[in-house]
Amino acid sequence: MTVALKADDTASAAHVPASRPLVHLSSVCKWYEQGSIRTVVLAETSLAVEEGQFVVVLGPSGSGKSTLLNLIGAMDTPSSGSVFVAGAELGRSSPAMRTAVRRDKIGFIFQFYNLFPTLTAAENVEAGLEVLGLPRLEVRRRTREYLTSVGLADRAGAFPGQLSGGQQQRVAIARALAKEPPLVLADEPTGNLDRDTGEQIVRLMRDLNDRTGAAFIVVTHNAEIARAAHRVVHILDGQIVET
Amino acid sequence: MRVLERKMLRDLWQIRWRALAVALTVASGVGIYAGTGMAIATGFHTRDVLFQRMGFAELEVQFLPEDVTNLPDLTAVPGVHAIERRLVLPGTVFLPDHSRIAGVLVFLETVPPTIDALEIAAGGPLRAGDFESAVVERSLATFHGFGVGDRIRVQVGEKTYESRIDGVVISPEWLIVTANPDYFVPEKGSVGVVFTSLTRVSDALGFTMVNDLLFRLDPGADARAVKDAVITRVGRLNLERVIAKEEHFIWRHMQLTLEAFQVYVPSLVLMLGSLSFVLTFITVHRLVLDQRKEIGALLALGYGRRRLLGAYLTAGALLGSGGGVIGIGLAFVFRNLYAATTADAIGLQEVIPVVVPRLLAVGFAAAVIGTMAAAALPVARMLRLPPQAIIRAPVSERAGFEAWMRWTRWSMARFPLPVRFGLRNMIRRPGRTLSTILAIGFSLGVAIAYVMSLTSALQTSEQVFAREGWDLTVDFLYPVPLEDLAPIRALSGVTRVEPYFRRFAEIGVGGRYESVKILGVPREDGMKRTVLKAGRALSGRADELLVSQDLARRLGSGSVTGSASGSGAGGNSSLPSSASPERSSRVRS
Ligand SMILES: Nc1ncnc2c1ncn2[C@@H]1O[C@H](COP(=O)(O)OP(=O)(O)OP(=O)(O)O)[C@@H](O)[C@H]1O
Ligand SMILES: [Mg+2]
Repeated sequence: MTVALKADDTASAAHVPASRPLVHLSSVCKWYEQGSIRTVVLAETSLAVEEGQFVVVLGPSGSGKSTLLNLIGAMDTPSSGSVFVAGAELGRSSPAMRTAVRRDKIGFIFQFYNLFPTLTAAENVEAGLEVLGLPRLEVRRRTREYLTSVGLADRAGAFPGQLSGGQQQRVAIARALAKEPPLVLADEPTGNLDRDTGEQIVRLMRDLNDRTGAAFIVVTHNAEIARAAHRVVHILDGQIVET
Repeated sequence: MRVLERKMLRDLWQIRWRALAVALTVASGVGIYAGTGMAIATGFHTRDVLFQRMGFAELEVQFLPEDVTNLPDLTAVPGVHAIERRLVLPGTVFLPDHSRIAGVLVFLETVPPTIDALEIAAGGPLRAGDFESAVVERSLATFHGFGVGDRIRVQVGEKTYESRIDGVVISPEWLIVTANPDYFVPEKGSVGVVFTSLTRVSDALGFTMVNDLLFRLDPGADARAVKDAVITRVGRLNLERVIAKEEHFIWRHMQLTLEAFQVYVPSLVLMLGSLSFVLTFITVHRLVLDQRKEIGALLALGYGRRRLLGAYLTAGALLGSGGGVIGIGLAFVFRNLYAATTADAIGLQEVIPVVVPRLLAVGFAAAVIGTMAAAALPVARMLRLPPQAIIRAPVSERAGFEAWMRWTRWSMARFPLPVRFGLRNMIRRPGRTLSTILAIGFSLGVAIAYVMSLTSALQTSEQVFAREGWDLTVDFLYPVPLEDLAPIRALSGVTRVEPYFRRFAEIGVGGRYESVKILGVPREDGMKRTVLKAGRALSGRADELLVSQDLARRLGSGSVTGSASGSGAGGNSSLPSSASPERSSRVRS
């Protein structure tokens, strides 16, 4: 059964012990304005995610799942309320600060992979590592390691156009995880893949969650992923509803 | 190389043909700018080098023929280095086909001359002691078929001088076209110039008579001061003209030709400059829109705005410097092309090319900076949005676009399918279609403007001459009494003869003097029409004068004082163009 949570008795109140949660949204509103029309996507939403948690977000199309992920991922700013990620308040911080949070704290996996078509699989992974300012050797080592862990060590030199959808998404996962961020955000990572490949991706993410201890927030329609999660939240009418 | 830069390069390679188009447009801008600039510099340089090499006279004094024993000693004038004396007589040259053209017979005291020296194009030099010997200016060879060894006859007054052509020469006085409006209307080859020894005349007369002095000045001498001093000393002579180098027809003609060419450069450069800016902008704008998702992904990975902007600036710099380098190469091609055609058109026999590093550097820098700006602008605009909005298609654009598409679909329904398909493709990208149309319009505009300005310049001079009421002019060596014109008046076909009196003078305002020709203009109803631009017509008082528009401009405003005529400003009028010949007698047939 689902219970709608009020703004003040937040999820954090129930789930977070003494230590500060990795992700903490309190009373977040997000609306878009087009001329005089205001579309409210998220209304007074609150959520807390602990380090190492694997959280699945479910909800009907247009309910604001991607919007929520974008707010957590510092890809957008809330209209009101506050979003804390690893101690940083994203709504009030500077663009440079938000860039730093994206760089150091977050790995993004998109539904349509968003790989760089003119870079090879390895270079796509390197692109995520180079911005961290890691030494060249470390960049090489991690690229090899994470491509191996997604099972693509032998396709390192292939361009995205030469890879299947599932392979491309695995490169995208390697790109997000090689950064070894405390938080990985995935927006329908299997939405564009067939069932078997989807399951494979889910196992991979779950496995990496166990091994690296990174927290995952995954938006999906995939029941397989939901079953594997530590925790499932629903978004309904702009509100977060915990299962 | 960093991965981001590697990505940038490969992305550029992906759109290499479009990038090449941008680079070539940039290159043509740089090439035209630096090429035309260097062509003009080459023109000036060539003029200076040739004039230096041939010892072009820095000052020339023309007067009515005078016995050399009566000439004041001008070598003592401070600043005068050397003087060479000549007798220059206008006449007619008999062509091989028995027709005649206007000619100038130059009797040289110094053989070979060192001021206004003659460069030999064919044959040999003038032989000093040989009374038969003559050399001809190359136009007589080029346009009228004279060659070394041929005989040539020049009639001066009643007398005909017959000579043997020993050489064909190039003279700095006749450097570009063998025409000089001081003698005749300019047209290639319209004047035959023959050089021969002065001793031929001296021997016949028993004394030496000259009417032309050529000066070489000391290095660094003040030409103006020397000219003034010379004018004071030769006051007793019947001065015709005193010509400083910069006032010499050939010098001014080249100056004007080159400056006229210069006029079109800014508009050409402006057009190509804005064209390449727009093209770069559109190309990068397209690239950036296509890469929306990639830019979003880079931002998600933690690349900062400045870093991304830097990458696109690098791409712009790369395109710009590629275009700049090609442009520098093109500049040399354009320079040689322009310089060669101009030289050919004006009849300059050689071109001494120069490189102007400043023009190349400015062109290159403008290419790089302009392309960088055009490349960075669309990215900078996009990066102002939150990353989430970058990944999505821009909402506002979409809404307007769909309305636009609906309207076009409706309005095009009656066209057949192929037309609809074509129109649709144009309409789908209104920005690009518009800029293409603008670019075409721009280039057509410049071309049409060029043709129109040429046409109007041509028509202006035609109209100016059409106003002139004469058909033929006759020039005399010496002033003649009016009664002596009777034989001319009596010629069949002549309906009217109008006498003029021409004299050299200095005219000045507030200490600034200009050499002018005084032309006695009949007060009303003359065949030489003047158009009054300011002031009033002459009323008949002795102290009035009209000055030509260009002289008024050179003098500036103020009270005009003349050193040869009476003083006082009567009015300000325009004489029909400085190229219109001024004669001491005009004939209507
Ligand atoms: N930039 C925007 N401007 C206006 N409305 C927007 C914008 N972005 C999202 N929305 C609206 O916000 C709502 C939620 O969008 P969101 O993308 O978060 O949905 P979602 O839950 O991810 O849906 P789906 O499962 O289809 O991906 C939608 O109604 C959408 O139209
Ligand atoms: Mg979504």
